[in-house]
Amino acid sequence: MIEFSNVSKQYPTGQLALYNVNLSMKAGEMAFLTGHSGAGKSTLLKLIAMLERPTQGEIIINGSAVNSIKNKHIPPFRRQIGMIFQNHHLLLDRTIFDNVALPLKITGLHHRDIRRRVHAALDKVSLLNKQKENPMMLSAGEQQRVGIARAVVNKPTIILADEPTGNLDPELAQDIMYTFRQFNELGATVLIASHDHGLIEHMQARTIVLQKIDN
Amino acid sequence: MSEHNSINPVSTSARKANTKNLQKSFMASWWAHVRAALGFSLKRLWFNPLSTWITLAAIAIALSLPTGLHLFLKNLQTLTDDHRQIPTVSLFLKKNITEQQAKDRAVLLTELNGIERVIFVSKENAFKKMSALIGFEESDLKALYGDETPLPHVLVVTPDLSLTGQMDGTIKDLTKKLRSYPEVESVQADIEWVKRLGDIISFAQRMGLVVWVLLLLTVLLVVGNTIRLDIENRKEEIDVTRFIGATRSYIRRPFLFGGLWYGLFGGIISLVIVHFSLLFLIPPIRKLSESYGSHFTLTGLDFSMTFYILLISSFLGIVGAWIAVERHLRKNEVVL
Ligand SMILES: Nc1ncnc2c1ncn2[C@@H]1O[C@H](COP(=O)(O)OP(=O)(O)O)[C@@H](O)[C@H]1O
Ligand SMILES: [Mg+2]
Repeated sequence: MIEFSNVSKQYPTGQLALYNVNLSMKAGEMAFLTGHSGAGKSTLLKLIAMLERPTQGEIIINGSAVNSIKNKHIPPFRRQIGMIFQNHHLLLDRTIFDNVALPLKITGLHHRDIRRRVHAALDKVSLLNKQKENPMMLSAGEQQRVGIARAVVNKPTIILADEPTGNLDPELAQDIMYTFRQFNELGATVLIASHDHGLIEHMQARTIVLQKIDN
Repeated sequence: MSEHNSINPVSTSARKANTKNLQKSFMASWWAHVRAALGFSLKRLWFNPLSTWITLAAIAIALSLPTGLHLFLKNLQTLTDDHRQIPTVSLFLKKNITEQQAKDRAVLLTELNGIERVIFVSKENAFKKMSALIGFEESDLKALYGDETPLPHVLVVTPDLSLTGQMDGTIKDLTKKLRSYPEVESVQADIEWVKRLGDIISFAQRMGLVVWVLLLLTVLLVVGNTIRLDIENRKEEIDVTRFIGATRSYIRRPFLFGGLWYGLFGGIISLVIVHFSLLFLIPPIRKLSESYGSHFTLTGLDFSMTFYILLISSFLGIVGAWIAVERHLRKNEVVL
């Protein structure tokens, strides 16, 4: 469950990215977040993942108010969220397998289970044959898919994606969207920022529109 | 209530077994983590061999200075511990005292408290020793002085320092007492240089302490700074790992092991440096000690000292890394 009440975000530079946002998503819901470039889509997702803090208002994620989460509870909080970034943020000094395995390694899962789940996640994004390669040897689209595999490998309850299909050809973009729908059908709450209107229409899911504010 | 009683023992023991299993698997996965982090940090050390070697050299040099000083002091101390070097008090007897009288006095003195042993040196023996010392044939010297040697009989008294341990006061009292005997012409306590050496050693020990503190601090700073640079280089990795939900201790661990490796390897290299310096110093020292007629030999580092140095350097490596990581985590939010 995701709930925003009167949330504003002003960056230290003075840039007001979000103003008075109210939003409510039920657990297990799937929605698209749209709006012009600079409307604050990325900022909104970052607020949910606690990568940024709101300057005003209250955000409640899975029952806990993010403003009151203590430092030591941040790691477990973040484990229930899987996020796919515009810029994939893969670690270039290790293989695809190790990148996808990272969220499982930090939870201390057994090697055997790690391998099983990483293989399953890579299979979902059709990259099982590239698991031993370095992220730098992949195309932009493939890197994006590795990011998706890493985000979903530990079965988060919330999946956030920031323009996940930006670098993909239409067919692959569609595939990726169906993959998100599958995760949604398995019970995850999915919020995808995108400005690909055709694709959003095709997916027939709830759409949240952010208006750009001038200031 | 009573119905449940029959079930309870079973479920409790089942739960117990379950917790035990959980603990066991927790330990196993913890150990797997630690092993992975150890190996990874060891490999990581050689990603940038030049900077690693420079860090290790700085640590090793910083450590080898106080270690070398420690060895120097230890060897200086064995010099004074040497039994032949214990301060002695020489009693020069009056000219008219016969050999028999001198020997009797020697026996009486031996009975006294605080005296370990008394050696009688006859005037003839003393004469022989003197001629040997100045390099004259005894006969030549005799010709010079005539039959009557110019030397008196001497009693060489070795005080028992273990009784009081306080060498300064004891020897003064003893000298005073010995001087009061009628047979004694004069007393000479051969104590000054031992005292002086003791003073030098205690001064050097203090200086050593200062050197230890300063150079251990250097090790801490060197490791801390190296790990800080390492953290800067791996900022992206740290942020991604933090974002994915890693705990502080998970993020800290590879860096702590990095610090451990720096400290340990730096310590080992410092031991090698000290050892080779010692080998380098042995020939001149042997020559020097031979010219003094002493069989002084250099002592190297013993096992416990080696162990302590490695322990301290590893510990400092970990502490330096800890400080660097904590500072980073406290100061920096995750930026992605
Ligand atoms: N870290 C930042 N510091 C300052 N301003 C920022 C930062 N991130 C985004 N902004 C600004 O906030 C506004 C919203 O940006 P963003 O959330 O990235 O929009 P979108 O993802 O919809 O394009 C923009 O005007 C952008 O310039
Ligand atoms: Mg954006």
